[in-house]
Amino acid sequence: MSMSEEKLYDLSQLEAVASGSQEFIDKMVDMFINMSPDLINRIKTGLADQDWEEVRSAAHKMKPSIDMMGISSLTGKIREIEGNAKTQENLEDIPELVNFLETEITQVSIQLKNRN
Amino acid sequence: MAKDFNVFVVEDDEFYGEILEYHLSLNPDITVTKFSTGKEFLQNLDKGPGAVTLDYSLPDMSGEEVLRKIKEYDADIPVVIISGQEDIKTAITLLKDGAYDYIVKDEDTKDRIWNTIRNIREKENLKEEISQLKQQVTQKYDITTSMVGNSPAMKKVFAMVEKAVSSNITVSITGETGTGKEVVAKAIHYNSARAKKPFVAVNITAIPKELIESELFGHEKGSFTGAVSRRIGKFEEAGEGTIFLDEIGEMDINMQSKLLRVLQERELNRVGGNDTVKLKCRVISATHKDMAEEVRKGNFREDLYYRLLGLPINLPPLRERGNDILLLAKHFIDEYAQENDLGKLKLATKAQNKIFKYPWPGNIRELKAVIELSCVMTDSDTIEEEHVTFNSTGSIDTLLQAEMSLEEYKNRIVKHYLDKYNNDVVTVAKKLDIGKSTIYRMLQERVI
Repeated sequence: MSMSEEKLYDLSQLEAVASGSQEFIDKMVDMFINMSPDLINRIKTGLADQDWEEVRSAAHKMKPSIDMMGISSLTGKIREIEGNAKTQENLEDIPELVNFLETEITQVSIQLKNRN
Repeated sequence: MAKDFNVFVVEDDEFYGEILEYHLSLNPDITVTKFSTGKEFLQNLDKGPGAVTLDYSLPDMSGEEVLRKIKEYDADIPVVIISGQEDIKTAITLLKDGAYDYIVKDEDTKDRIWNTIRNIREKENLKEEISQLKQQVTQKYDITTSMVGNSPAMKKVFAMVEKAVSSNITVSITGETGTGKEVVAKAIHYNSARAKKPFVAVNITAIPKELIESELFGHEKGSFTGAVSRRIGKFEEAGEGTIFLDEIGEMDINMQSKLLRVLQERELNRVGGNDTVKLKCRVISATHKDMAEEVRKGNFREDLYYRLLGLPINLPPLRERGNDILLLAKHFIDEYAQENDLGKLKLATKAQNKIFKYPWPGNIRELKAVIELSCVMTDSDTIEEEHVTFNSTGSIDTLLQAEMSLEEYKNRIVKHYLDKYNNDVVTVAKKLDIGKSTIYRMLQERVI
């Protein structure tokens, strides 16, 4: 990661849970990197099919991992996606939110892979 | 105590399940098994989880359904429901259905689960401890180990206890202080079909007269000054077990009629309440008084006396039990030696004689105290005569050590009897085989 690039994640909460186990931290980070593309695909497919329950459920599943990785730019937005899909309100905001989500997750994943 | 405690984590969110597993596994005594569907989990229920954390929204089944299946299988398995959102109504339903706790997924969840699991484990340990203790109590009150004696008087007692054990009859126990009335009551309870139900002992003399009714029958909130909350009484507490009313002879005459009514109707009302509570416990009463005499004197209701009499068991005083004194002494020596990890202790012949000759006014209770003291006093494996010392308040030895004149001794003895028999001059005169006028004269001269 270049020095100028802003760090999009914060592992302090995960480190607190891990109580010093680097192995656990690595495992959770790998899990996040591996499961995120699938979940984003589910959200995108749901969006295309206007299947809001699918969007809601995939967003709901992503929520704890985003919180745990400390991705502050997404903690509010993932809840917005989940909430809008659930109440079926402001649905027109969702495509942009999902776009942002995908870009951020891709970037965070690269940053996480190259950490240390 | 450290024992593997297996927690089943049922969670379809892999990420969350991983965190839970890791967090719980930080405790070395806990092992975690993860399941991502309700079906998979239910198939493994027979592996005996110590506790279950259950994600409320599983892909294949609802939380309610899984909870119901767990409870059907074994109602004792604690289930902690973890839900994505707070829903009070669902939470209440689940808790009513037997869930141990309801936790909402947020940042604090893992700490709350940690605490909940810790509480569950403590509770499980306590449960285990209680069942062990119950077993110990039952063993302790086994008739053959809790009551020692070969004398004819005691053989009669054993026969009566056997009768009491195999029936539901009301039992009344009489005997001097320290003869083991409560031990007999417990032996009856813990060897009867009621053994697993409560044994509740009430000492009538230990409760102030004004409070006895609410102590025995309970009270409703606000039924009298100081009744700040509803309280169940000893009869209700005993449930289907046994209530032991010790020193029944001391019961106030007004209370006697209330007790009589309850025993006759086999039901009671809490003080200030209208609900009727059925009486299901067995009643065992005890007293050191001569109850027939109390009835004659009008201190005890005759109808209540007969209601409580049932199977009467009279415990002989120790001085009338002959060789039992030494049997019991040896029993207490062995008990003390075992409890204090000492080797075998012997009782020297002279010490045996000393114990045998003493009148034991405090009966078995006094014998036990004297024996324990002598076990402490000896420095070898033998208890000698000088290690056996009597300290009982009423003992003749103590009285003799006072070195008073014969006149003074006479006064002391008469005063002692007058105190014992409530200043009943006629009885005292008969007991001491002296004239009534002698006592009246002593009273007049104020020497006693």
